[in-house]
Amino acid sequence: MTVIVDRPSTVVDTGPAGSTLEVVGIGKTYPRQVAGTKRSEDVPVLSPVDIVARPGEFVSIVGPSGCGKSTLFSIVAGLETPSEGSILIDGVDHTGETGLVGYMLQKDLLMPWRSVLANVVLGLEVRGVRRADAVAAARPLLREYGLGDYEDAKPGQLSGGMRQRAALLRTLLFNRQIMLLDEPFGALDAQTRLQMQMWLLEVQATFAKTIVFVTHDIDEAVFLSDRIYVMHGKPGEVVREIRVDLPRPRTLEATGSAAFGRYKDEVRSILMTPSGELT
Amino acid sequence: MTALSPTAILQELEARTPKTTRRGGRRLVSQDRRPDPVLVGVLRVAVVVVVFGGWEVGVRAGVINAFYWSSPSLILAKAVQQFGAGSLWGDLAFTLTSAVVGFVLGTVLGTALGLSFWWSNTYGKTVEPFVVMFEAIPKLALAPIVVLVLGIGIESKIAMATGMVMAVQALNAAAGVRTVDRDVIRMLNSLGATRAKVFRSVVVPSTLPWIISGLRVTIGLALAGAIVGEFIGSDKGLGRLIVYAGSVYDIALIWVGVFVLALLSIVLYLVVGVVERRLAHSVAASR
Repeated sequence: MTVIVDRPSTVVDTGPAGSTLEVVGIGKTYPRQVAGTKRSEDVPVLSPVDIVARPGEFVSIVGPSGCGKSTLFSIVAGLETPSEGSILIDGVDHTGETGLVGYMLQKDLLMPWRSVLANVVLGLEVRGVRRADAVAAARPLLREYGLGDYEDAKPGQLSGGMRQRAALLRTLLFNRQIMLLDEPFGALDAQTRLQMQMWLLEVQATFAKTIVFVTHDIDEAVFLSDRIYVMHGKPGEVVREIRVDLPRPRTLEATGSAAFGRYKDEVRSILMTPSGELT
Repeated sequence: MTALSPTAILQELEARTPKTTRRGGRRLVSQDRRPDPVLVGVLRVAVVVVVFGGWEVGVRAGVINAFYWSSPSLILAKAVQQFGAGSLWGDLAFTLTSAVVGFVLGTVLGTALGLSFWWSNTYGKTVEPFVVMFEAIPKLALAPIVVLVLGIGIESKIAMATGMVMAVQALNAAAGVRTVDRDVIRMLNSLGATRAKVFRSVVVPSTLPWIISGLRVTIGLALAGAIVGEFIGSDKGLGRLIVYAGSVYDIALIWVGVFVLALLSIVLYLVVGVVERRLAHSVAASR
């Protein structure tokens, strides 16, 4: 007879997996006071949006500033409640719940008084993982991704690229199957950004997380994604879904190919076309 | 008037701009050259010699009235006598104890009060104006009441020192709480952190530097609070010594009290400076 032993929840498992994230008809309106009156009206910032990210898939959302991408992420992360619709993870309704997806912003939000090591284990700390287990999981990852010599350093001593790498490792080490990355490389210089994109592809290939990535950089979206949702703003809506059939692993050479150029042109033309004229 | 082209507008403007120098540019004169440390040291000693030497010479020449002003030599003799007799040590210890105990109590209570504002906006908004008001009241004016209620013993002096420190540190902590990065809190919330966890991991560490940088100001306030308490009514302490000396026209003894107080104040300031640096360092190192 086999004894099934429940693995203690304190064991850190960064193994491959990935979950399905379904954004079903998520819409959001904010009340705004009508000028000159005391009446308030509901202004839609997000008209119902449907988005799916399958296990291990890299999905990008591209759109102009103010198209509701960040609002959408806040809703998926459980930080805001939607006006309508629901968030399903592996088919289960988790609308308005925090702590289920990794969430990373353009700002690294590293705590300046914590060491790099203490920063990257923050998510595990919140989940109640024992310190020793968390550190044991974090050390090899820091070493693997070039932060091994800096685990005791303070974030202030790191370069912008390293800080962002630490922030991504913190998100990864939170160890949820879905990661939301909201313009994570937006503040980096072109060269560092490219290095980070290559690194993210490597991380994605290793851990097979489900990644939803917000950007307004078309090159970045095509280079990284399996699929791209193009959004238009005011109120935000998904106007097109594009499947990017470029071979993996993606290399820098791929960015010069004709197919890469065609995908870029397609995304750009949809972004530049007014919503009403899209067929 | 003819319409000018944009280029012509700028050319016209340049023609009307006064020419500052013949060469067109101005050479930068740097003002942050480092002063010679030896020269600075010599000058500082010179200041002390001139002030105290001038005082002494002035008294001996009859220009300065020794009855009102005393003289450095008289003050020194008085100090030697007072320390020798032993009563000055007791006064020093009394004032030191009330200031330090009040300083510690005030820092702890003030920090706790300021941090508590984070937990409820309703509570924070309700209480904050009262703390600001308490900070604005010249607390020294309350000394007669405090001494009346708590007596002429050390309790009233500790209470005065505590009150002075607490109001300032409560506002410092409240200001620190307001500067906590909202995005860091959002990030922690997205991880599913409880309010207690957010408080411990973000609010307290972000507020501590505000408290620590307030320490060197509040040690001086604690000392002032203790002394004013002694002015009103006490059987010990440097403040009482000064009041007593004044009442018997012992000007040299007043000066002894003032100089001992000044030394005490400087020593406390330096000690707190060291503590502050240690704390800032360990706050940075831990967490």
